[in-house]
Amino acid sequence: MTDSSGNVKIIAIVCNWCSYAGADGAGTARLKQPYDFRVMRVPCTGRVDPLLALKAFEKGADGVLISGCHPGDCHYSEGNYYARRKFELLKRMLPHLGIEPERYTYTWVSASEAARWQQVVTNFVTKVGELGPRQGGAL
Amino acid sequence: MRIGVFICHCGTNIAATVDSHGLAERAAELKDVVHTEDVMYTCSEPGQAGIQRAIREKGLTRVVVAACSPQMHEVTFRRCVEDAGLNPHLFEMANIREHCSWIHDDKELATEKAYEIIKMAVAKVRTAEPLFPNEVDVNKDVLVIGGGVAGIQVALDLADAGLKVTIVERETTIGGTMARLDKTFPTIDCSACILTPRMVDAAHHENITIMAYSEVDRVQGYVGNFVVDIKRKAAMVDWNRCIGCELCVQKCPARGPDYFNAGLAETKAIYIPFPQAVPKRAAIQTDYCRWFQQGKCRVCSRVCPANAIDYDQQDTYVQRKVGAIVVATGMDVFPWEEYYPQYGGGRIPDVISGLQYERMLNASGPTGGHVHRISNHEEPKTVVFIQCVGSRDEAVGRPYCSSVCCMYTAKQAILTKSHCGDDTDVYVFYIDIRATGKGYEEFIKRAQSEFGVNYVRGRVSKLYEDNGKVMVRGMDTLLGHQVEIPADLVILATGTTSAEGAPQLAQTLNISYDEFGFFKESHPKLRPVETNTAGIFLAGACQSPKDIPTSVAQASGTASKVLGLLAKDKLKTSPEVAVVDQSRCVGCWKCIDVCPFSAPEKQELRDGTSRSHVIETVCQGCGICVATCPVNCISLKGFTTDSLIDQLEEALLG
Amino acid sequence: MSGAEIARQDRIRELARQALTEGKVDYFIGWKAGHVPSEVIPAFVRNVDECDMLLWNPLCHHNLTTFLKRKMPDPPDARIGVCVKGCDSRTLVALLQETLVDKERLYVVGVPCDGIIDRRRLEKAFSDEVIDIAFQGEQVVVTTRGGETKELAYEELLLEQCASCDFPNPRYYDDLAGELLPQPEGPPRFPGLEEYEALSAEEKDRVLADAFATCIRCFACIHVCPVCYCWDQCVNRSRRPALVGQKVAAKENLMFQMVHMFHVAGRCPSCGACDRSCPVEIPLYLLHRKMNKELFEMLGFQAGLNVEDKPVFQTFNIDDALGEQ
Repeated sequence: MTDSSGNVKIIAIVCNWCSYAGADGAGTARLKQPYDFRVMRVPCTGRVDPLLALKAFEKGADGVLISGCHPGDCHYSEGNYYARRKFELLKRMLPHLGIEPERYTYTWVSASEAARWQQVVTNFVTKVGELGPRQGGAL
Repeated sequence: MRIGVFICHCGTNIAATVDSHGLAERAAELKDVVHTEDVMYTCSEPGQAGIQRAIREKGLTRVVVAACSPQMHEVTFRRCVEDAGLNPHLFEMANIREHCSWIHDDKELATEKAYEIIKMAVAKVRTAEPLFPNEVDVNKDVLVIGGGVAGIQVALDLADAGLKVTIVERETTIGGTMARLDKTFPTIDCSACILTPRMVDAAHHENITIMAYSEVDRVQGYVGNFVVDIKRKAAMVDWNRCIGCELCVQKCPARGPDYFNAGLAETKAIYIPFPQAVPKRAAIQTDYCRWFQQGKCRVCSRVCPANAIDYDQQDTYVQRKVGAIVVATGMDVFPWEEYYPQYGGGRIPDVISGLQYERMLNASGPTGGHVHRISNHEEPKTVVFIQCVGSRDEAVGRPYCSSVCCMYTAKQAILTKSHCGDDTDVYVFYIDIRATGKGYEEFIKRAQSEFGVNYVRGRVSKLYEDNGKVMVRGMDTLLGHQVEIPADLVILATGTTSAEGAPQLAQTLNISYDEFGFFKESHPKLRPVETNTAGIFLAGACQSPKDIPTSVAQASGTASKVLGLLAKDKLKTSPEVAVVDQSRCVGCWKCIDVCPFSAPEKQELRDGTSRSHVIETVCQGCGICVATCPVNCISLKGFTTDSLIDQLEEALLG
Repeated sequence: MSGAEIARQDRIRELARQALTEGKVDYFIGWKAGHVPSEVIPAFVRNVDECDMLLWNPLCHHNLTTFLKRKMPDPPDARIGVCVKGCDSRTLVALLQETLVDKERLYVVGVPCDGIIDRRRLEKAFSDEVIDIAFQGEQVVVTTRGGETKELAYEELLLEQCASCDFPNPRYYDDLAGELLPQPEGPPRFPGLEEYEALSAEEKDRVLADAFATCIRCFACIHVCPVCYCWDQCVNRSRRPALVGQKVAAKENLMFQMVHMFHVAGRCPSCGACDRSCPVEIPLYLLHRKMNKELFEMLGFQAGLNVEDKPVFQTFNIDDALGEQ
């Protein structure tokens, strides 16, 4: 696991009920993670407008990770079902907007999946770290 | 704006990898921050007192605590600032423990990260607005859907506590599946002896109204204030007059299928399911009635001493206003005939379901409690039970365990011995024995050792008729060889499936259900009797297959949750809900489309145009509408788009 | 102009006349000649005797359903007749799916369409002002002020999207102006993307940065879009929430377009109205046509096909098999 830091800026948008709790669990279990991501808590991935992820890129993010409850487990029963369609469209459009596909991902991490959270952020941050900072002119 | 930032050491939990003291100095330079301090244990009594002192002495209008996860102490600190006179929503937590100090080693880098986390929290608290919970009046009446043992238990518990309860039951009598059972495990006591007094209690309780032969048609409103339309199905009998004398049943010349006896017998076209029915009222199955089918007969009308028969009766609708709804609609028996052609698919007469056998064993059942073969009415000498028919079988789309079949099979095996004599050979084919309840394992052991029931581990691959016997071919996986048993009677331990119409009811109620049609609880461990729709609760087997003790225990748990809800005169609802800026709403109604809770509604303004309006007490605060609204005129209090963008900027520009 | 084209024009006039005479509509929206020969403009016909100004030819590019969108009908409860081509009809279906136009107050004349001419390309082919355009069978005869006359093949002047049109026939109409055309077979086509798609991320970024640096945020793309109806409340005009910055620069301008694109996602059939309206000729099709291509590959979804369908982001399927990790 990489301990180096400071070269990329990554935003992790996570839902309050599953992924935020999963990240808490990873902390409680002292599962080491990279430095280069900042967690932003929302009640539900259904709250996340894909434009918010685009906004993050526009503001200079080098990577955006969105994580919520597994489909079927949404605290509000349907939020992530709506969200995943939007997130998938975003995933398909971002490379078209000049942003490398590795810079964005969306996934599901439940409150009990601390190890999975560690693995998800470590993989994502490592990949974005390899690409380095973005010099986007368009977004 | 005067923001105070409190940075916790959490002993060494944070301070070992994050320089809390240094952060306190740096955070003082952030915009609008007028007070910072680092604290050994912020959540402790002196720590909280320090926050309250700073609020008073420094005139703080916003507070950030950088410490552990908000899931740990957000409530603690909100209460703390509220006690010092600040609105609890003008507070934000920066999680520098679970999300920073505990996951990093390098103190310099971790401190830098903690600083950014604090900056994001300060940015968020800057956009925070004071929020106030809404208060709504609570209607203290309760609707219970389903009058089985779980529904009856909930209703009695609530009625005893003084609440008015309406039970809506779609059959003509309450009692549910339990009323159809002969004995109950693991005590082998009589099912009716336990249940029917409870049914009578419910019927006579001053606080309980039973609406039998009725269904929930529409549900509007929200927790504390539901409006429910109930369809009262036409029984073709005026129940205000009917005295349940059964004269009509005796004289009726037409026959129809008998749901109550699981198809083991026929019933009359006008029927009362069983002698202890509550209410004991007759109803006509119009599909089988000669008057309705052929336009002649009217025997029931002639013999009825109460003049209760009304061939022109129509469905009627009544409305009930209630504060809470309990769903206790139970389960159905798996329709095994459609799925198991290898067991004859229902064409072999001496292969019957567990529930049919239950009716056969019952003294008031169609055989008067006499066990016999369906084909020739002889007493069976060899009886084979097959477990897990429609359970734990992915091939028939039922991967779950029905949770009752192991036990009822053991009970029926024991009863077979007592009905047909000790010399009857009884075999049970099983995959595993699941006997986890109190006294259950002992019960299985009794069946095996005391009653001499032969347990064979293995699945039966085929049933076929040969020479007047039902040949049972299967594998004994413990001995590793094929077995073939010529049986007189084969009983399938049929699994349970969700009640017919469960998904439709879930949609009417706006609650979730799983792929099998069982209703979903809000949280499997922490909120097992609540649904995700506030004010709607679950009890019994409608949630997942359950035996009687579990259903009743859960029902009482549900009753206590309902009482907890309705003990208050006013309900406080979370203020972190969506709110529409109606001056910007363009009326595209996408919010209404996507809301899982039906919180947004069209509201007509005085100029005749309509705008969206979110009913605060219904809104659960998920924000799906917020992400869907094209003009972004819906904002989620506590998670406004501006607060998210400000956090983004803070995290990215720093 | 081919016989079929003339027959369609006659039929449009006839149906408009009928509808107005019978009092079925308060006014009828079609196309009429513009101020210069290469231009056709929307026509709002209120009297029977005006019906003869309605015309149909390969210059009728306007998607008239944009005049049906929220707040546009004047008065709001007017009964309106409207002409739709295949592509236009899909935006109408998208509006009907959202129940944002009242089916009962609409009279829809479907016009089978052989394809619309790319007027910009045509004008650019001449250094001089075009003073006459005549359609003669498969040929387009263009005359300039300088007296130059050229015959161009109609096929070659078609808009890119028309050259590989999947919907020459309207998906929704009350009456048809002309015979239905053969329905093309095969999967939907999304032309004109290959070259851009083949670029590297860096190159794409540069293309977009250059294109969007010229955006003047005139809102033409948004106002002309039939399924974009928030008007003054458009979040692109909003400072709170500040989803789009007020600074005029490539990034903010692209964000501006992203707001439009994501808000019409699932309802936009790429009718191309925004493309044709852009005064600085930003290749908007690169975004919305691509979006529709991805939506089709993702969910097999095409916007505006059937009135009963739900727009793809206002519903979900629990079995959606998407590419999350």
